[in-house]
Amino acid sequence: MKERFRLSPQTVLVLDAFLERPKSWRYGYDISRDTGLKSGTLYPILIRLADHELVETRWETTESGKPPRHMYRLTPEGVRSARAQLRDSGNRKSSMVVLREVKI
Amino acid sequence: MSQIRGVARRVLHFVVRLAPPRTRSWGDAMIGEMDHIDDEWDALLWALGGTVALCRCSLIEHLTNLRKALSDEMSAQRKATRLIKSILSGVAVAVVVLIISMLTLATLQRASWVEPNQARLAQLLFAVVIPDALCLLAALALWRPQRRLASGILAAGAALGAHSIIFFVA
Repeated sequence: MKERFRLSPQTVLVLDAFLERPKSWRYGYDISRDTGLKSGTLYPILIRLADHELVETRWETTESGKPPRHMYRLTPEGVRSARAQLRDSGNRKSSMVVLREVKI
Repeated sequence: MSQIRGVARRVLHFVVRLAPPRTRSWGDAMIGEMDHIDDEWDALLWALGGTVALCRCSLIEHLTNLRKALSDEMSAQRKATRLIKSILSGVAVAVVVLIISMLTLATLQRASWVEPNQARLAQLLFAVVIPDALCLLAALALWRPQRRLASGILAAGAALGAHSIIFFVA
């Protein structure tokens, strides 16, 4: 992994979706339906995750007449990092909640 | 293929063709995925979202490449400036050596104890041999740590030597 990057709420959704079945390959549309993200939001996230080597990609040939599909899966480093990042973001969220409660 | 899907496909293909190579493969992924979406309007929305994503990614990649090219050009300019400065510094060092040497020669020529035949020898010594030898020694000493500076000194020394040889031969 090159470096840790800022987790947007949409990235958290995508990582969550990947972590539901960390070892299986997923299609873009499949992730889009799971997360509710449109392709315009989903693909930049996937590109960024692939650039950080957290997601690996491959082309899957399908039945005749249809073009091959691009598939995505978390790398082992991606699984580790996603779990850590989600844990961190969860901690941050809970500490923000605590802070808010203290302010109130 | 319905008209809606056809339009969606053409739009996405057009943007993919304009995208830089790295982004293009992601565009192909979006096109491939679109044909697996059953609902026509979902396919159109998918294509439009993909178009926006591709445009954004392409723009970012183009800007990154442009910034890199500009920074490369600036660093090349900086290198050239440093090279010229170092060589000119070397030339300046050689000129200082020559001036000191010529001042010494002028002092000697005015001295009463110097014989006329010795004056010619002193001229040769202080105008050519000593400054050239000093330049050569300085260039050799500085060759490893300050190669550009040494090149400047050597070039100035060579020019001085060539000029002196022409002067004495003539």
